[in-house]
Amino acid sequence: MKHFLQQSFALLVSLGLSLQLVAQDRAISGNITNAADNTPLPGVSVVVKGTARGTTTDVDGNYKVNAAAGQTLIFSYIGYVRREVKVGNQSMLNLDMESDNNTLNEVVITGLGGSQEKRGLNYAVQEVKGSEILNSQRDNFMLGLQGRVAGLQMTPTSGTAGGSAVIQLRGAGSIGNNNQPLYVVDGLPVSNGTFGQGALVTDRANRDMDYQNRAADINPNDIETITILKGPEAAALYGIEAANGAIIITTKKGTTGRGKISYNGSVSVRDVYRFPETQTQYGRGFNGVFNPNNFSYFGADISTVPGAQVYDNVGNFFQQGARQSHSLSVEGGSEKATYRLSTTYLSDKGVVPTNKMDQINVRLTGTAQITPKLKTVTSFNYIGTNTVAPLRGAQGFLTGALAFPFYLDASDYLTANGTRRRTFGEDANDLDNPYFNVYKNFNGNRTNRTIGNVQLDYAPTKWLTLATILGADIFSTRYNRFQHPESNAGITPKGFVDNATENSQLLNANFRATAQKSFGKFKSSLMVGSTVDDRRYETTAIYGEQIYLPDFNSINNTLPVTQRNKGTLVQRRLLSVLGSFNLNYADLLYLNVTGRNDWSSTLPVQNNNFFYPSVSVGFIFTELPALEKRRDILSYGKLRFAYAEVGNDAMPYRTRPRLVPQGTTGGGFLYDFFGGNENLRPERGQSFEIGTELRLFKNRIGLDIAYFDKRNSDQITSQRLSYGTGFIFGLLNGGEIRNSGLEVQFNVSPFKTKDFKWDINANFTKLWNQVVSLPGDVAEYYNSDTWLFGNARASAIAPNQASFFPNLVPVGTEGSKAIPVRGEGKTTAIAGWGYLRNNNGDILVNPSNGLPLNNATFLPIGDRNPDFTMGLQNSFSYKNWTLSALLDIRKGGDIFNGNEMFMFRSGLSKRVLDRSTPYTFRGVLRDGRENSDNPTANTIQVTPQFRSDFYGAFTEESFIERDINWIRMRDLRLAYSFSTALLSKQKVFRSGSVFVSGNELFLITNYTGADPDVSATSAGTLGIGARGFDYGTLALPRTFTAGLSFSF
Amino acid sequence: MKKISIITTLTLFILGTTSCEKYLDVNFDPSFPQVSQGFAILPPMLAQMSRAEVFDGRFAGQYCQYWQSSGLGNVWDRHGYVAGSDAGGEMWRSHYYSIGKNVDLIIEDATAKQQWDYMGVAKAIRAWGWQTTTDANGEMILKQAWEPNRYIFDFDSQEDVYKEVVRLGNESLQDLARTDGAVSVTSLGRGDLVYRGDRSKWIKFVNAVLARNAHHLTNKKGLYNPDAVIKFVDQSFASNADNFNIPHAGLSTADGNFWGPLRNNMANFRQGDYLVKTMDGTIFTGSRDPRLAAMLTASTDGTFRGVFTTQGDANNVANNVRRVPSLWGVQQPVATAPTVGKFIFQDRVDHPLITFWELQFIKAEAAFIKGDRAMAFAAYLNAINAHLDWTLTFVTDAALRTQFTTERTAYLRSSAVAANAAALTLSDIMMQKYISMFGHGNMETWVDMRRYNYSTDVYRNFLVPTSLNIFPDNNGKLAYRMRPRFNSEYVWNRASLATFGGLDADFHTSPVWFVKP
Repeated sequence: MKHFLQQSFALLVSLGLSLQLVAQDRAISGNITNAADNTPLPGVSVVVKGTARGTTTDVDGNYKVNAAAGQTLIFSYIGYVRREVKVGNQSMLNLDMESDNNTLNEVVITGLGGSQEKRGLNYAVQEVKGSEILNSQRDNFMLGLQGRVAGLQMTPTSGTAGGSAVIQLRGAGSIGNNNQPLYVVDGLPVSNGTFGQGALVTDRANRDMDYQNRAADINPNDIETITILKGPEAAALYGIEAANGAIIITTKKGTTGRGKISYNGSVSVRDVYRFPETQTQYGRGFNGVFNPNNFSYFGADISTVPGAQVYDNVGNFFQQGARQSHSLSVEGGSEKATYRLSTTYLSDKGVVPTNKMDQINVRLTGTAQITPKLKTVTSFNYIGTNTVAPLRGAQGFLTGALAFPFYLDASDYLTANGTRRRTFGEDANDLDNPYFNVYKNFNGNRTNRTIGNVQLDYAPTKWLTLATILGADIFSTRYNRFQHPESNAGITPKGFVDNATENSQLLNANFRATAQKSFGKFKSSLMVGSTVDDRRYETTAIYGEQIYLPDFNSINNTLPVTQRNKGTLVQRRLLSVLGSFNLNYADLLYLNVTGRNDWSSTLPVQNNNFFYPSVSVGFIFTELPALEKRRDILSYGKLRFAYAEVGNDAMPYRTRPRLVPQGTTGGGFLYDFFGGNENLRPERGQSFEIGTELRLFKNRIGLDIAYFDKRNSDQITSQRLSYGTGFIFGLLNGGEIRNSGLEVQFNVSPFKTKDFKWDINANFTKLWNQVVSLPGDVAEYYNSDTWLFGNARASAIAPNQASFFPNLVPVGTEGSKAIPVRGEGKTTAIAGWGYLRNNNGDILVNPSNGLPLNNATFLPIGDRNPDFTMGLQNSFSYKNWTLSALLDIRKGGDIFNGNEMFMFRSGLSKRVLDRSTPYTFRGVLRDGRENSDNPTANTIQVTPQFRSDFYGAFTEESFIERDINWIRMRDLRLAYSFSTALLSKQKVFRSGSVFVSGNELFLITNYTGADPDVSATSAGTLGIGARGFDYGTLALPRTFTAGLSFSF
Repeated sequence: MKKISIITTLTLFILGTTSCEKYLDVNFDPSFPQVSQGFAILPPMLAQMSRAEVFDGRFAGQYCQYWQSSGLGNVWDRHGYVAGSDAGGEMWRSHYYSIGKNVDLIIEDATAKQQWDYMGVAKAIRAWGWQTTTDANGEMILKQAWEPNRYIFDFDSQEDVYKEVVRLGNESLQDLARTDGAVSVTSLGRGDLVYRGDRSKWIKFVNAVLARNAHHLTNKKGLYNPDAVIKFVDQSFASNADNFNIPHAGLSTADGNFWGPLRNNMANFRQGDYLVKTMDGTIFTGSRDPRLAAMLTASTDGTFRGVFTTQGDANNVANNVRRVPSLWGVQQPVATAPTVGKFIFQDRVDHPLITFWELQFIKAEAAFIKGDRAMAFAAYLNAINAHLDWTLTFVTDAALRTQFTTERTAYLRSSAVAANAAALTLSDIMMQKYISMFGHGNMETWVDMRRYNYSTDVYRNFLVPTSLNIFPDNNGKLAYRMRPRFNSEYVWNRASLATFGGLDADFHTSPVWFVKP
C-alpha cells in the first residue's frame, strides 16, 4: 500500500514535469503514405508518447503536431504496423507505413483478455475481422461466419427477422447437452442462451416458436476481431463451456488522437423466392370425390370447372421485407485514455407479415492507463430488442399457406362480422388461415440487456503481471403469446395467453498472474489463475385460457380460474483454478502445458470436481538455419501437435428427480418426467490435433491444415427408456462418441499490382462422427424437439443395429440390398419409419390392398452429416473499388423433407398429380412366401385417385432426400471509397464510402424443397440439433442492401 | 488497485478453502420440491387413475361397440391399433410413471410418520393399477419394476401379476385396518378426494379390486372360485354411496373431466349402433330403456341412431337431420360453442372407476356359474336398479325425471329384464351389465367380452367386423389385448417383448392369460 502511494506520487510529479515541457514544443508536420503504393493514408493516429497530445492525418495523409526533441511520436493505424519515431531536430517527419499482413508477428486474442503471439499457439485458431462480418450486413453476426471458417458449421433456424442461428465447431461432442461454443466478449463469457419453452406453464417443445439466441445481441459494428478457438484446448483457459470451442470477440476501442465521429447506415429489401410448390388441379376431398370439408386434396379434378380460379396463396402471403440500420460512433482519446461510444438502431421488417425485430444497441468503452503499471479497460453495453415472430411448424404460417385451398383467396380471411372465415363447414381440423394466424395471434418477446465489464491489469515488475476481469451480464426478457379463440390452437381452450418473464444474471470474475522469464535461448511464462462463475436464471410464467374479448391480448382477458403460474429458478456455480506454462526455445520450438480443475454445483458432491490437462507442441521449422535462406519461397512453416482433455458438468438440479405441480382436481405434486442419478460423473472428452501452417512466396500463399480426433465419453443424457424405470427419461452417464475432421484454410493472392489486387480465401471442412456406444447401451438416443412431423427424428444411433432388432430381417450394411440402413453408428442420423422388407430387401406389400407395409420401428434412414463443406471467398480491389463474393458449398448430407411429406400425404404435392395413372407398388406380397425362393411379386394395381390411402402408405424413408449438395452465394458486395482527391475539396468529411451488397443471391441445389439450409427447431434445442429437418419453417430470404459510411 | 487484486486473490483463496462446499451447495431445486408428503401426492394420483382408464377406454369402447368413430374405417373400430403410437398405452404410463414411483414416495413418508392409512391407500392404488393394466396389456414388468440403475426389463406372466394384486391387496387391507400411529380421518381426508378419509370405504375398494381379480378367472376351471368372488363382493360396496368416484373440478382443461366438452377429446366419437339397439327395443323387442334418452341422444329427426362399427356416420354433415349427435348431446362439434355436455360427458361430473352395480353384476355372474340362481337374480336386480338410480341423477329436468320413472317401471317388467330367478340367463346378466357399464366401465366390459370371446350367445346380435373390415394385420382375429406402450416398451425394451411374441404383427389378437382356459 505504501509502495502504491509512492508510485502514485511519482506519477503525479512526472505528469507535472511533462506539463512543464509543453512550453518547449515546436510544430512538427509530415505526410504519411502507404508503403505498398505510396498513396496518402488518412486517419492515421499520431500521438506524442507519454502525453495526451495527438492528432490524425487528414485526407491527404498530412498531420501537424507539437512535440519536443527527444520525445517519441507513435503512428498507428488499423491494419498497419505501428511505428514509433523519436523526434530529433527536424520539423518535417514523413513516413510510410507497412500494411500488417506480415502474420509472422500476428497477435491473437486467446484468453481472459490476454493476447498471445499466433506463432506460439499450437492448435488451430482462425481470426475473422469485424469489418468482414459488418460488411456481410447480417442482423445476427453469427450468420456472417458461415463459409469463412474451416470447421465451423452455422445453421440458421429460420429466415424470419429476429431468428436465431446455431454454431457448432468441429461437430457435436455431446449428444444430449449443449454443443454451442462459448462466447466471450473482451474476456468475459456472455450468455448465448435461447429461451427454453420448457419454462412456460405449458411446457412446450422448442419447435413452434423461434426465439433469438442471445449472442445475436452482439453488435457487428462493435466487433474489432473474432477469434475462433476450435478445439477443446480453449477449455484450459475458459473452462468447461469452451469444450465445444470458443468464439472470442474483441470489441473496438477508441483510437487515440483527434476525436472521430463515424456514421454508417444501410437499407435493405428482402424477398422470398423459393417456395415448396403445390398442385392446383385437385380440390379437397377423398377418393376422387370433391368434399370441401375434407382436409386433404384427394378430391375431383376441379381445374376443368368453368370459371375456376387459382390463387397463389403462398406467394401472395409473403411480403417484401425491409431493413434499415444506422450506427453512429464517437471516439477519441490520448495515450493515457481512450473512449468509444457507439449506438446502433436496427429495424428489420420480415418477409412474413407482422414479423419484425427492432434493436437499439449502445456501447461505451473506455481504456485508461492509470499509472504506468496499472491499466484499466471498462465497457458498458445496453441492448434493447423487440421481436414479433409468427408461429411456425405444425400450426405455423407456412403449413397454413400451403394447405389453404388454392381456389379460395386466403387474404379474404374474415367474415363480414369479423370472425374467421372458415374453409370447413365446422371448426374441427381446419388449418389456420395464414393471414388469420399472423394478424390475429401474437407471439413476441422483448429483451433488455446490460453487460458491464471491468478489466484491471497491473504490472508491478517487468516480469510479472496481475490481471483481473469482473463482469456481469444481466438481461430480462418478456415473452408473450396470444392465441386467438378462433385459431386452431385456440379452439379447445377458447383462446389462451402464454407469458413468461425471464431474468438472468451471469456473474463472472477471473484473476490471473503471469510471470515471464528468459534464460539463454529459452523464454518461459507461467500463468496461474482462478475463476468464479455464478449464473442465475429466473423465469416467472403465467398462462390463462378462455379469452373474453377475442382480440385483446392480456392475461387479464382470460378466465381467472384457468390462470396458472410457474416459477423456475435455476442456479449454477462453478469454481476453477487453472495454470498454464509456456516454453519457447529460440522461437523454434514451443511447448504449452495447461491444467485446470473445476468444481461444479451441478454434480453430486463426491463427483463434483474434475481436473483436465492439455499439452501442445509447436515446431517452426522455417527457423532452422538450413531453411532460413529459403524464406523467399517457404516464408513460414510450422508443425503442431496438441492433446487436451476436458470435463463437463450436468444440468442443475438433475441428480435427484423433482416433483412438479399438477393442475388436476385438488392440485398437488407428482414426479416429473426425469429420473435422477445420485452417482452422476462429469462428462469426459479427449482431443488430439495435428496441424501445419505454411506460408509461401512472402506470404502470397498461406495454408493451414488441421486434423483432429475427439472422443467424448461418460455422456450425460436424458434418455428415453422403458417406463419400468418409473420415469419417462432416465439420467444416464456413459457411452462414447467420436468426432474427427480435416480442416483446411487456404489463401492466395494470385494477382497484386499497385491498383489491382485479387485475394482468394478458401476453407474446407470434412467431419466424421461415430457412435462408439450409447449410454445405457440403448439402440437410439433421440432429440424429442426434432420429432416434429411424421415419424422421423434427429438421433444418435448405436452401431450394429442387428443386435438390437433381432426379430427384423437381417440389417444390411449401407448400400446392400437388405434394409438400406443409413446413419447407423452416427450422431447425425435420422431415425424414422421405413418399409417392412423380406430377407432379400424387397418391400413387403399387403396382399389385401396392394399397399406397402410400414415398419413402425425407428431405424436409421438418413445421415445429415455432409461429405464436406467449403467456403470460397474472392476479393478484388481496383483503386477505390472493391468487389467480394463468398460462396458456400456443401456436398452430401441428407435432409428430411417434412414439407413434402406433409404435402404428399395431403394431396398437395405436385408429385401426386399423376393420381389417375394406375400404379403397382414394386415389392413382394406378404403372403407367407415372402422369404421363400419364389416370393410373389406384387401385381395389385391401384389407381391412387380412387384410393387416397395409397399416398399415406409412403413412409418417412421416402422423404429423406439423400446427398443434398448446394452452392449458394452467401454474400456479394461492391464498395467504393471516395478518393482522397475528392474528399480534400471539402473540410467536413474525412472518409467516406458507399456500397451495394446482396445475401443469399442464388442457390444451386439438388434439393427438391425450398432450401435445405434450415433447422425446424429453435437454438434452444440441445444435442446435435435439428439441422436437416425441413418442416414449416422459412429459410433465409434473399436480401439486397445499399449503404454508406463516412466519418468526420 | 493492487489492493483489489489482493482482495480478489484472498477472496478466492478463502472461498476455495473454507466455504467452497457451502458456496457450491445450490443443487437443490428451489422451484420444484424433490421430496413431498402423502396429502400432496394423493390428489393428482387419484386424478391419474381416471385419466388412465378413460384414455384407453376410448379404444376399448370402440372394440366393445359402445361408440365408434364418426369416420369410415377407423383402425380401432376394425379391432386394430395405431402402429408406432402410444394410443392404448395410457394405463401403462400411469401404472409405471404417473402413479408409479409416487406410491413409493407416499409409503416412504407414511412409514416415517406412521400414517398407516396413507400406506394402505397407496398400496390399494398400486394393486388397482396392476389389475387394470394387466387386464388390458397382459404380461407386465413385475419383478424388476422400478429397480434403480436398470434399463432393460424382463416381463412377467399375467398370472404373476394377478398374484401380486392379491399379495399387495392383502397388505393394503392390513394397513387400512390399523388404528395406531398417526392414522386419522382428518389426516387422510386432507388428500383423499374420493372417500374423505373414510378407511372403511377404502377397505371396500380393495375388496372390490380383489373381486375383479378373482372373478376374471371364470375361464380357468381349476382356479375359479365363485364363493371367493361372492365373499369379496360382500365385503365391498354396499350401495352407490360406496362407489369409487373421482371428482373433477371442471374449471379448466387441466382439471376438467377427460370426456367433458372442455377437453374436447370426444369430438370424433359417436354412440354405437349396437349400444343403441340394446336400449331402443331392437334387441329386447318393444322394451324402451329409460336410460336411452338419459345416456344417449337422438338425431334431429327424433330417431336414436348409432354408428355401425367401421362404417362411420354417412350423414356426418352439418344440418343433416339423420346425423348421429356427439356424446355431448349436441349435433355439431362444440369447440367454439359452449355446451354443458350430457350424462358423464360433462366437465364437472365424478368419474366412477368401480361401482356398486358392477360388483352386484359380478356377484350375479359368480352365483349363476355356481348354480345359485336366487342369489344371482337378487344381485342382478340390485345391479340394474343401482344403475338406474345413478343414471337418474344426471336427469335434472322435472318432466324428464317423471318420464324416466314411468319408463323404468315398464322397463323392469319388459323382455329386457329377466322375470324371475328361473328365467335368468347368463346373457341377461351380461347384457344388462353391458348397458350399465357404458362410458365409465369400458375397460371392464372389454374384459367381459374377451372372457366370452365376443360370443353372440352372450352378447345377442353383436356383430364383429368381418373379413373386409377387420384390421389387415389381425389375420381375421379380434382384439384381445392392447399393446404395451409404444414409446416405453416397443422402442426401448424390444428384446424383452420379443420373448413372448410382443413384436408380432397380430400380437394384439393374442389372448391374454385370463381368457385362456
